[in-house]
Amino acid sequence: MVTGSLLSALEILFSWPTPGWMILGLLAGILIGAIPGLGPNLGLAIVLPLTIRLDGPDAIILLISIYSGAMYGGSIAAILINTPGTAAAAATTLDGYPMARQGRALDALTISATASAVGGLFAIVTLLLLTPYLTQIVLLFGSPEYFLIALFGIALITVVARGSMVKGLTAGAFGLLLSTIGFPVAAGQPRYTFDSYLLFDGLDFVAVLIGIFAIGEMIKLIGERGTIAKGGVDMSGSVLSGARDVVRAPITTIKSGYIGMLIGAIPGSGASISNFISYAEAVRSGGGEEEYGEGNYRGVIASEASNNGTVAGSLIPTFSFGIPGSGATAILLGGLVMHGLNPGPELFTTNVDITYSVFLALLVGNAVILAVGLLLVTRSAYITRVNTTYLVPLIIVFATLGALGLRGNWLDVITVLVFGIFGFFLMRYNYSIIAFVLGIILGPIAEENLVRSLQLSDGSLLIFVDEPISLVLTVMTILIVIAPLVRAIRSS
Amino acid sequence: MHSRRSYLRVAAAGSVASSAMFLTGCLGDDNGDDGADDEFPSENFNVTIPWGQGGGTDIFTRQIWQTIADQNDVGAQFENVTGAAGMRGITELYNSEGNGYNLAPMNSPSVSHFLIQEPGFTIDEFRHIGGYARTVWVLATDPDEGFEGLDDVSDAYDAGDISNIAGQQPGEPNHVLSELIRDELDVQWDSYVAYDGSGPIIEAIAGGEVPAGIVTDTAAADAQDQIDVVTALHSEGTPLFPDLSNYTDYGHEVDIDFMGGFLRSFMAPPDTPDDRVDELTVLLQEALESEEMQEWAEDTGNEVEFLGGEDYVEDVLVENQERIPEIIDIDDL
Repeated sequence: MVTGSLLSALEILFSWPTPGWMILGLLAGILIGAIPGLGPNLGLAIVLPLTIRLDGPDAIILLISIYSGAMYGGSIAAILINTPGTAAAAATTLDGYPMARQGRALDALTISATASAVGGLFAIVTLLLLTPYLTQIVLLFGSPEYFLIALFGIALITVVARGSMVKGLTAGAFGLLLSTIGFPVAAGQPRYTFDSYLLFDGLDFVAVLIGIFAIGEMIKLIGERGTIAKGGVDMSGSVLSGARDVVRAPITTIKSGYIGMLIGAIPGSGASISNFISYAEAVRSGGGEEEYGEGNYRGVIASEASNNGTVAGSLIPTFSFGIPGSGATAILLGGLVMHGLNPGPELFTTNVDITYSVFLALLVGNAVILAVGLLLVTRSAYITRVNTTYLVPLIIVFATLGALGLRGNWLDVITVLVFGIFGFFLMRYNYSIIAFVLGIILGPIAEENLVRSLQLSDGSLLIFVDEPISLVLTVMTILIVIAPLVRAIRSS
Repeated sequence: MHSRRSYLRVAAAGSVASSAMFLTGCLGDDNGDDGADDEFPSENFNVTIPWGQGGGTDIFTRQIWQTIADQNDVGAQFENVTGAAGMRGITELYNSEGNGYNLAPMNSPSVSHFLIQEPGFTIDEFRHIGGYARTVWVLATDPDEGFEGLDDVSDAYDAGDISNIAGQQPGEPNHVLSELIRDELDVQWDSYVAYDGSGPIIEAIAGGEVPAGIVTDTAAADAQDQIDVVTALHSEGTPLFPDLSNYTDYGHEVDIDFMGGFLRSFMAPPDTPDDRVDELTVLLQEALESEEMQEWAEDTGNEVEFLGGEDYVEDVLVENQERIPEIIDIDDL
């Protein structure tokens, strides 16, 4: 039965004009992802009404291709100008941009394309294999498990906060604090909104990320002269050398793809979270010639493999229960419903051929991403040789316009500018940016699921250890937290 | 069972017909205009959608108003103004000009956000064009519990076998409904657990995290293999589950329909003139009953029907506005 469905899916995917929609979607997605502030949500929102005239499978394949392309496209600006095209590529800036500064932009871009394709590939093949069991797998995870995964992510602050642990924890705690602004799921009244609609839905963390990474870096560049690639540094690297770096780190690549898939499957999360968790895990496990944050190619691999893995993961709750894992999948879900494809068991029984065709479109799409990434996008590395006098104003304009495009909310423009200044000082005084980001993006998921878990258990904390999965997650979190202490004791 | 709906249909049709006759009369009046205003619609509709792109309301609204625009040789511009649980877009509509071209969708559950957020205006100030769809809330349970009806669920709560019930955020309709079924239908649950939408509630029920929850009939219909649907919380039941009993079948004589049915409608700014509202109601009814809309509804499963004009919609929304504060303490959420 599975073979028959797969053959039907292949027929759908390779019947014209479906391949055309797929390639168009991927190219549009890469372009949209590469422009800071646009991102997959805006791209999908624009295209969704236009799909009304398409057949259901064509429409969904077009939408999913835009989503997948944007996940990769976001890395281009992240590497070249330290401005993540999408929140999913924010962690790519941490090592990708330093590589560009060292004249290794070409390497970073090819690593990004290769890691995106390979990470996505493993996640999608796994998704295809698991398709008959997806619903049962989703049901293994409940509120306690979601809380523990978020807590594990927050605990990773102890790993990524290099230097002063107090500064790392302070940055993380401040991020958590900011995440409490708005309307929580657990309560019926908004918090800290000062009676303004603008704050009702809280701060948009994508705007926060654009501010910290893009504006913060631009403020820094204003004080320098010349180009992003530091003066006297020649453009080095090749298409092959970058791809070779990915081959040299197979575990990091595959592991990151799966981390992305797992995080993507958690309702309310998405690639904006998975790329940081995956990066933090790469930092924890070490490797690579350079320090993390100073141009370690494994940092780029971790972030990029995970965000494309997230695309596959986010389809699990979306298709099985109609629960979007992110803004992009919420629009994708709208596309499914608009075309009469209701999420739920039907997508895994009577319409399973369409489901498989979407998964296969992602699989083939990764090959297209690899080709486009290696052959075309690498040429954009020359942006790092453009004088910053021209680049800085352009990037500031893009960042602020992109912020306005997020929700049409002027608060997001203010957020970008305020957090740009904030990010500059974070960098200047060596506060951990990743710790801050982990706090602000994981806070809402942790809070919502903590409150719900305690409601379910009538306040008992045993709910976090009474099932095998939750027990393992609790132990992992404890180990992550005490590891630095153990290391400190042993070294002393 | 369907007599009320049939009555409403007839009443609405009658009301629309009389409005049309009234309009015809008005058009013949010499009111001093040069005649330019007689052509309605002659400009593009500006439709503010207070919820996100791709959601149910967005899909319905775009389809319906594009159809109306096409039928009248004008255009329709759609803008999603999201945020504050829909209140940003609703506020934008409130402040826009009431010329018959500015309008927005309204969902009856949003009435609770008028009460929670106190935006400085109330739902009865708007002009209501008409209702186009109704979603019914249903009580769903974990199949492992083996409940066969509302009485089984009620008995299990009484016996202490189960204690939690799932719904959305406090103040949302499933929260109000859960209080209503405890007070009026004697379903004595102990603890209300909030989830972020019908999808997560269904996942929690199917996974055994909670034994029962209140979800929309459309969401429940998509998950029939994973959950049991034990009763409809509207006295007319739901067409998606034609054999399903509703709460009145269990001998309850109270009326919780105002909250058990999720009414989807359209509205215009407060200062929209009567004739424009009536004309919009006629256009809406014509579009909903057109072959094109009915084909679309059949293809996509998004059922639409003209439920009634301004009086009908306002009655439902105002009843929500008045009764919600009696059921839940808004200040204590």
